[in-house]
Amino acid sequence: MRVFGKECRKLFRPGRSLGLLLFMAAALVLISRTAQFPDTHDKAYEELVKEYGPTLDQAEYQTLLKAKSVYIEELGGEGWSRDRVHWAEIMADESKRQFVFLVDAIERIEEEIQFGYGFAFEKEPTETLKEQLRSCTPQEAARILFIVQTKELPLSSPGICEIMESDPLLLLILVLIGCGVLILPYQLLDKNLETASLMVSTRVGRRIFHLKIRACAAAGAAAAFVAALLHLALLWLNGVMIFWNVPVCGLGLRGIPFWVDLTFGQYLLLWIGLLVLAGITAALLCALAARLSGSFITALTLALPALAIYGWGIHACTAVPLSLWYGDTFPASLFRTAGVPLLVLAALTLASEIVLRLDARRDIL
Amino acid sequence: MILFRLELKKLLHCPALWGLFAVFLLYDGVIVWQSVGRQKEKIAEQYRILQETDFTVPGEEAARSLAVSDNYRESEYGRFILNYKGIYESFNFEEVSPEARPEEWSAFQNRLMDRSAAMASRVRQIRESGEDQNVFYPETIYRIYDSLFRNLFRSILLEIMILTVFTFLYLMDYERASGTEDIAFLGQKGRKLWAVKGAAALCVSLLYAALLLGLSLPLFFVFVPMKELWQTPISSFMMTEWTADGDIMPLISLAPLSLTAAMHLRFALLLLFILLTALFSAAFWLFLHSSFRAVILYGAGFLVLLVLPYFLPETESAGILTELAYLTPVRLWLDSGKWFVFRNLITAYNGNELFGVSLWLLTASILCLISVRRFIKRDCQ
Repeated sequence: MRVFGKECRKLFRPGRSLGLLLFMAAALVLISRTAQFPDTHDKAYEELVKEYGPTLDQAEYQTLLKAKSVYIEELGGEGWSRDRVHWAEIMADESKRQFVFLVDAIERIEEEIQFGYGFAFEKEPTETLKEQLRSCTPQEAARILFIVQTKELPLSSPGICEIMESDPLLLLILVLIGCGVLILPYQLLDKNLETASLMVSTRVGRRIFHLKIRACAAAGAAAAFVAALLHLALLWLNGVMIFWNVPVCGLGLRGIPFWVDLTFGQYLLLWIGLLVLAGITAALLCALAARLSGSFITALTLALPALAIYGWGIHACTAVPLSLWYGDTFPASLFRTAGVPLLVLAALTLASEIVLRLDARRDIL
Repeated sequence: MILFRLELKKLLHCPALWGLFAVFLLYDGVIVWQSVGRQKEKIAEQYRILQETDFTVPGEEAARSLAVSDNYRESEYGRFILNYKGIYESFNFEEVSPEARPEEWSAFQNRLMDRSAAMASRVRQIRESGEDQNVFYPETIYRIYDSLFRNLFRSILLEIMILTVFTFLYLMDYERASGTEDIAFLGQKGRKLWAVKGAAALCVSLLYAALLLGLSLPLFFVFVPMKELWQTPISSFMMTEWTADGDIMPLISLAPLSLTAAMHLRFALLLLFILLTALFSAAFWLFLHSSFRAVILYGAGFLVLLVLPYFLPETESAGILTELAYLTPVRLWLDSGKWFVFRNLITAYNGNELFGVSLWLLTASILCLISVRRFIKRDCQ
């Protein structure tokens, strides 16, 4: 354990770790969709969630429609949006502007119900829905019909769906970069300091190779956790956490059709799990690349395409995990989400084990 | 010469670099297949139509008969000609004479307006010279120019820069990684070794560049016949394309340029880019004495230069900094699909790319000189 602690200390050098942390934070603040949250439309949904909770039942929906007519009255009655002079006045007034976005949000919900995307229990699918179902497999169609027959309409916002679609890729890229920055120089440290030969000359020394691989895996997991924590902090700072319990399974712009019912919080936790898995796998890839190389540049030359191909593949498999977008069945979707990353991880663990065994038999590296 | 040959051998015998080269080549192949390979039959049919019309722009009547043809490609081509043949007639830049400009305008705003006026005169020149009336593959349909220069060339440029950086850092760091650095530092000849390393790395970078270009570009032209089309000016109305903002706009070259001339100029700029990357790589390694730190510095610099234009004002308070931010190597690489054509008013003058690269070459040379002086004075560690 003492040696493992020392190895971890070599891995997480203060300057390097701090630099990486700052880089991740800056990238999230500058590029992520969460950083742009809430836009004016999202604010209206925030208000609705505060007032009605994460979902709407039919009684609440009727109340919402009444509230909409009150908002329209406040805005100057029907036809308020067509009067350009009046429109400019409304947009200049902060409180009235909020009404505009509330009306917009309620109209979007109404439109979705008209399309048959919600409250569709005991009803025939609408033409819009039938059109969508035509291109689906029977299992997908059954799942979509189950989703639209909900008695509780989720109050998620389009911004939430955009976060779910775009931010995971950014987090994945950050974790891959993090693994490269932490692990490649660490794995080459003994070669650079010329202590590798000393290590392999004793049994205890040879065991350090195992500890090094474990330390790398821990670093990958840590990089993923840190990236996820930073993202959660940004979500919290920008007020997205109010949507934590809001179901995100649905059709239209405010939902994604999933094979299982998920809330926004559950989706985030699922993604953090996948990110940790990706972090450990990327760490093993980097460790192997460095093990096969004599210098940082050769290690980077091997790791760069390996990480890029792995990142592309894993993003293709799990960009929006468990969603119906891939045109497969639920078991296939589950395999794509969890099975493929686990298989890759298992294969890399096996490869690492083989390399370690070969090292144990070698005299001098 | 022996040292040079030995250093060259080190690079040529490095499987990791060749592996990376192979990955890049494969990626370029994928780009070519995705952008033109998949529509090779369509492109071949379009080429046949161009051949049948004798590589000249059909007149109004001929275009109309093409537009109503039963053949889908012919009808598409005819409609394209009818829609966009006169695009330059309805297109122009704002012109405000110096006397009519408000006094409160900054020097930068005045400069932008001068460039706008220059672009307006360039559009007039295109119209009058008939530069726009030349045939090519309709850009909104086949996106040949876009695929060649924005997708393929931009990716090749980045790949060459990465290979140059890796080649340089690999060779510079070789002695350190092999534990022979101290021996090399001892003698005067040993220190000169790094100059030989630089020359060898530059040669191999050029070799990688030649191979990447020599293999990827012919692959592209396997799917896109270009006979009789090389002399088409970039400003042809056939190059009309959808912009990122959803507008339709022709490619307006800043000077009369054919595709061949544009290609040659691109190769020249690419050479300058290789030299720039090589100088920075050498300077970073000599200064930091670590390939890891040099790569980190490269990455950080790349990101900073990438986001810099977004933090600088573009309107009244904009100044020379905004202009320079558009001429950084990173920005030029991003815009490499639109070299020598109008991108925005800030860069709307002839030779802006060359000016930007030269400025950075000068910076890199100064940095390299400082690093070399520092390296020579260094004690053994």
